[in-house]
Amino acid sequence: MTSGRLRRLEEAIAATRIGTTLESLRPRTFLEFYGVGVIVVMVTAIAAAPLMAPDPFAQDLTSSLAGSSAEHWLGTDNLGRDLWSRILYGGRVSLVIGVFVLLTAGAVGVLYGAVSGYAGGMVDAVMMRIVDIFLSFPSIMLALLISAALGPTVRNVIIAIAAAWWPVYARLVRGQVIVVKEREFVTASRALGAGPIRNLFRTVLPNSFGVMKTIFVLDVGYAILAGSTLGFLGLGVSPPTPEWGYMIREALQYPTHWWFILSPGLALLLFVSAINFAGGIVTRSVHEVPVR
Amino acid sequence: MKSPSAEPGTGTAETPEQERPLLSVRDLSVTFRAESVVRAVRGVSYDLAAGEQVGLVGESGSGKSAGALALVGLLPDYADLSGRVTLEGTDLMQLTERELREVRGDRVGIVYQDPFSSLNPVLTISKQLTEVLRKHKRVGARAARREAARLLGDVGVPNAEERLSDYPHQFSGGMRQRAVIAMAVAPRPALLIADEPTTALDVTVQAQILELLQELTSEHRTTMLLITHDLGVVAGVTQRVMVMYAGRIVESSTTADVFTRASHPYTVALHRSLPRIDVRQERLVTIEGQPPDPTRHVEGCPFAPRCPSRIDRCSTEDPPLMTIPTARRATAEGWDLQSVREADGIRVPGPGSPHLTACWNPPEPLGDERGHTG
Repeated sequence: MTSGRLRRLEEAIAATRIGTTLESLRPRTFLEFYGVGVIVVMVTAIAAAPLMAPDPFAQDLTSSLAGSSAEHWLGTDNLGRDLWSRILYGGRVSLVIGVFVLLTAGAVGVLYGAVSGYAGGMVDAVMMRIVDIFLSFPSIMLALLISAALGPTVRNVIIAIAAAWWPVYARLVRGQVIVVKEREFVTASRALGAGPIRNLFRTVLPNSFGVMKTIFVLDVGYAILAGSTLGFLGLGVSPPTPEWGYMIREALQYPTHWWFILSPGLALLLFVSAINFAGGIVTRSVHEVPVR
Repeated sequence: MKSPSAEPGTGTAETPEQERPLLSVRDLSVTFRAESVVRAVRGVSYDLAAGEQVGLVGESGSGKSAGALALVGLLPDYADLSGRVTLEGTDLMQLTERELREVRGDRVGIVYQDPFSSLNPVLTISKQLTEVLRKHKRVGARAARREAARLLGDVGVPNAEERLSDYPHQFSGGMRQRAVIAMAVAPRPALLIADEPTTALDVTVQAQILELLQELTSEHRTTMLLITHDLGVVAGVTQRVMVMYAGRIVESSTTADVFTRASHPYTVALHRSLPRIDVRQERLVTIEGQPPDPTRHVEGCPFAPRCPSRIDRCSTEDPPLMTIPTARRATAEGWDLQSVREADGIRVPGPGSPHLTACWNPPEPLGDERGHTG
């Protein structure tokens, strides 16, 4: 999982030029429209869950594992809870995990990588060896270990995944910073009397970050998948909080009740693949940004 | 004769104390530690007086930019410097990075060659200008914005007030260079280094930018060091010209002298390769050969292999900067370096210094045949 993600992000970076903005990213092909459309619909539904679905925690053991009906659109789970509702509320958890993992890992990784790349020399060497240590673990193993140690809450899952993810950002940002810091406007800024801190945060980082914005779009999907993976392995968000990965795990015990396993599985597939399709916009449109 | 590596600088008489120059450079050398050691600047000395506009002319790789950036410590880490650089009585080579930062921008402004790459693409012109003002003049945000608009207007950007909120890519090349100049002059530096400020611009815009630089610097009595590979650029703008070749100054005089009485074969060759509007030429004359490899030690005069007026001495002994009469007599009478030094006294290019040339066999003045009027 790590290597695929790292490779994908590196490809996006290689294709991205400074000056790419989110505004220049418009869907064009069918898959991209599909991806954006699915994201919009799902995020809206997830946000409007209280208006569209019953209580996800309400148990009704008399109608457990029921099929689709007017009352329960997607049927019920083993405890008689409404699956439609649990899918929507589970989406909230996934979305929160995805976004906050990016914010946390992004903040730490960007800062770390920026300092490392800008400082250069020994500092850079030492800081990058630390990153290498982190990267030498499979990231899901690392997240599992941390999650197991901290306990199964949404916050801890975010911390666990972010802890496993920031090194990749650090490495990517460092690469950008090293390129940008050699550009003439950085020397020009020094020539105007700018010190290292101002130079890094006002000049180098904003120009490296343009590329990172597009990376983050791609990475939301991976973060959601990682959150669900932890849930599926039983080390993610704890029940009764609805979470797609854990729902799939539960449903495995009831293979004959296909709607139970299909609902969260399909939700995860739809959402993550939609983000990937939409992410294709990033990789494509950055190719078209003219060099200034 | 003495060893050819003996260089002017250490034993040079200083300019009298009462007219201490604004900037005094002595025996400045810049070496880049790359795969092989590149000697970019090899013992350069000169003085700049307050309010002077001086041209530094040379082809790419002659060390002109490296020598200028070295003054304020803007070269990369792998550059080694030696020599002495005194600005307003302060030895810049002795300053820490933190102290140098106060000099940069504040006392020494730099205008870079390429305005397309010397502005930060993600910040508006306003942000970049006001940051400079707020750092160096310690004014508030609103005052800085007003001042920025005034500055941008001063450098000839129309609708300055509105254009402030533009990003660099919304500016044309000429306008960007004007903005860069506004930033460089905003803190009222004593010295403005213009490093090929017009090379990346359209010909029509070049003249405007040069005129602007001249106006601004004479108005504020700012000293300007105008670095260019184009003799034509310095013609109307500067009072003095120093010509660099292979990391050394090879000729120095008033701009008029350098144009009408070029006395170093390299300068003469540069003139020949310049297109002229007043003389019909079938084709431009090129300078045969290549500049010496900066990674190799050069025996004798570095221009000798390409020089039409080469004599025997040129390939064994590197000529120091000397006055033309001294050069002629030194060659005719076989003086050694010591005698040359004694004959001239001051041999550092500076305000009021005589026409100096680093040539054992300076060609006769060219007269009207090639005489540009400066």
